[in-house]
Amino acid sequence: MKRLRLLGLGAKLATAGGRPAWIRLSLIALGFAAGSALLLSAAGIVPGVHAGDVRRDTIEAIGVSRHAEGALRVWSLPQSFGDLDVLVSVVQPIRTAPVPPGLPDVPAPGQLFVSERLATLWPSIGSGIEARLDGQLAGTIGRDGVVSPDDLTIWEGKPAGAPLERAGSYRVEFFGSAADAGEPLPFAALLAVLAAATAIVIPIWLFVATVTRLSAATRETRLAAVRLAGGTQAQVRFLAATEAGVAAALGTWLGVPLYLTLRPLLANGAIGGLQMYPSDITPPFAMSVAILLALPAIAIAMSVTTMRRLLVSPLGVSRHVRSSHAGWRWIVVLAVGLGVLAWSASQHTTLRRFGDIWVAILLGGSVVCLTLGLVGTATWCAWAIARRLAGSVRSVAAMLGLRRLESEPTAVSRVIGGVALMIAFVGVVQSGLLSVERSEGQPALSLEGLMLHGNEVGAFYGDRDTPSVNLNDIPGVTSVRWTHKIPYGRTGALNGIIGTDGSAETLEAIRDRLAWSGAAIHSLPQLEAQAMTANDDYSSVRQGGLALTLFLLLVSAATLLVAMVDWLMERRRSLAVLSAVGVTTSTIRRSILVQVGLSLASSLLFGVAGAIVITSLLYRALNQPIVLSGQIPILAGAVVVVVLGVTALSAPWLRVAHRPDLLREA
Amino acid sequence: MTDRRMYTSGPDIGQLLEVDHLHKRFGDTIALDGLSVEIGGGEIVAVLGPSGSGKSTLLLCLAGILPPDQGDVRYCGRSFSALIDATRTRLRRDEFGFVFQFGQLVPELTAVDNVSLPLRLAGLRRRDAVTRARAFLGSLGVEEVADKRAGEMSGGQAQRVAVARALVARPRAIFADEPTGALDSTNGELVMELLVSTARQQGSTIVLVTHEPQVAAYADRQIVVRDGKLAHDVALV
Repeated sequence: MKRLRLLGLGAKLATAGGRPAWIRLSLIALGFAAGSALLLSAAGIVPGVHAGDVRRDTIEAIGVSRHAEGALRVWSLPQSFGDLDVLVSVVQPIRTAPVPPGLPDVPAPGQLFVSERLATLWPSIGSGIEARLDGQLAGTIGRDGVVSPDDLTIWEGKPAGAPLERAGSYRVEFFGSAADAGEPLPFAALLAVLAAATAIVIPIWLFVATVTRLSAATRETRLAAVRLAGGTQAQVRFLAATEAGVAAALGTWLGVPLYLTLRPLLANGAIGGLQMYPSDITPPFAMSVAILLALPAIAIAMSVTTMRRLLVSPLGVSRHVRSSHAGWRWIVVLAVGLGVLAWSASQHTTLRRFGDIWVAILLGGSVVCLTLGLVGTATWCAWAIARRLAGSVRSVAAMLGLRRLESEPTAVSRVIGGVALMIAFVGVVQSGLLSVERSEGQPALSLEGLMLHGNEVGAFYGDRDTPSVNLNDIPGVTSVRWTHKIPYGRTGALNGIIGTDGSAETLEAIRDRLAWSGAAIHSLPQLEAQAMTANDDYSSVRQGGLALTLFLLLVSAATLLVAMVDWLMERRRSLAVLSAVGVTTSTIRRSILVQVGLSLASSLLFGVAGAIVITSLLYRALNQPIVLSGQIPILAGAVVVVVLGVTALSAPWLRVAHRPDLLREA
Repeated sequence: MTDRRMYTSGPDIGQLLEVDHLHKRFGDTIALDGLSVEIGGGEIVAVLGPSGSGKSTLLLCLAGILPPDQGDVRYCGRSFSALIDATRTRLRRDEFGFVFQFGQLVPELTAVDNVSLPLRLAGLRRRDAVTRARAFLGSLGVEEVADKRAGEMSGGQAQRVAVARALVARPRAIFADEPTGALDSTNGELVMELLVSTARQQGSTIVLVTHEPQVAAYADRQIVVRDGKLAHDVALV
């Protein structure tokens, strides 16, 4: 009961304190909302992809049984309408035939059931399809019968006059079911994506850590007042933890509607061009609950840890401060990561003997050590340089900036240090994508594309028999050639190379004539476009990565601004004293530039060097070509602009805080 | 160090500070209500009065930190209101020193950094400024905290460092607001002894706000402020 009352008091304290308290609460909630939305989305990606795989298995898990009472005869006919490739499955029941997934019944002769995507296009191309396939639209295929929302598929009952040979068909005696289809949800992949997302969430975490410290002095005074009123140290800790937990829980749960808003964007090709149903991007229930509970729990744990370093007495708050900056620990972490990665790179030819899982653990662990070590070492390095120079610089501005950096490696330094991690992370990912692209080569035409020239149209039969169909009488057809020759001097199945006048009408007329042949009919421009689209997958992932980087950069900029403004407001008294003794605003401004500039230079140096080293060693270890992304220097430049821009943006707050008359108030 | 002082060149300059019908209010609260007073060079003046009487406001107006609503403050015959902000900042840097009750040392700077700050701002070379600051800290008996930060010193040590910073540049006027308010009596006496003796040696004027009679006893003159007005002005012999 006592705890409940304290809980209520803690919740009240979170909102007490007027506008600053509400601003703080809102910013914390915003940070946690963004964090939980990103984590829920990340945890939903693997189930999203997996749901499509399960449906594909269901559709494709066809079988033959000795005891089946009936069967479904199926002809798979690849069709193209304009630029769209559609897979048409023509079916004919034999006694009690199994019903294809997503259909209410086996289609009657001439009945067309089309996928959702095709149904939306039906007003423009439906009449052409009906005419070619000699059928009528009867309905839409349910979600069970398609892999993803952009599927272009048709189930058609075999029309009476369709010239389809039994030899070109296959028998289906049962379809698979979701229960027995596919692999179980790959939890290892889920955890890997979640781990990557956690790295992405780090800038958001820094934002939360920074805004949590907003108005720290005011809140500490309040806690001291609680002690003065008779509260114990434990009760004060409990109150502070409740205060942190309330804001975090509020934000985390607000992340759920944000995640639901993000989901359609993710489903619509935002992840490497993958099309998914929004509802498929749903994390497993247990994982959702874990995320929604873990974030507030982490906030509470952090508050408890922070409070352990504070001694709240009725007269005020004092801190247990480490006498020296324990930067050497980060150097050890960095050295371990670097050592393991360098060893892996030197053993790249024999590394695979360990097995994929151990290689992943070895490389993943070393990259994590390296990136964390980079942030810590960059911050420590800036501190060590400041410590060494502070006592010997001539300029007062430099002395103030360096001493500040030396005495309080605060949120500002941490945020700038986080930039190092981001540059390294983005650099490695972008370079990795370039590396995969390089190893897969330039966009190349398929074998079919290499067989065509100019306005020629290809009728590609694969392993089917070529029917004797006359094409010469089609207007616009200039020649028809049948050949077994395929590129690179080899021979294969018989394909038709049809010379045309290049018009779309001629192409469609050829497709109409060969509709029941089972041949895929393509023009050269269509095959070229397909080759380009396949290569665009990587560039779309890279662009997605860039967009995410810009978002994180903006979050970092917001964090830096909040940290700087809070620092200026909290240090009003100190700045007023400096103003009273004659330190000008421009001197303070230059001192901030020195402080920020040194942290920034150190972070950029370690970030860029880290990206280069990790990329070089990691891809050598993986036997991939080493390609450094051109985005690394661009990102470094953007970081410089953002940090200096934010420093300039904080100038009005400096003018407000750096006034001698504040001595009266502060 | 070159003397960059703008208004004074010798110790005997007659009236150093003149306050003429000063009015200042904060919202509905009247802090100063037509107060007039003159302070001569080298004088040590204690400003007394009950809480909320306007003592600290008078001090901040005298130092050119707080602009009055009405009336005028003149330093060496020149009105503060005629000076731009940059000139007032330079004046505070070159000719004034400040001691407050608490929170006056720049927390990230060491004691020697804090004390050498006015000298460095005035253009003295770093090495010379640091040497002089260390000597000054030694003369005030706090050389052992020279390389420590405010958070690592006792209240008495921090206050002596603050006195050192206020006096190190040999200012013409020192403004002290409850300089012993946060100290025990022993430390309070020590700080006052150091402040007053050094100021007398240097010929500096001290304007001292206090509500402690034993602190006010160090002054040559006592001014009592009540409800924003001058209630008494007594010279002590």
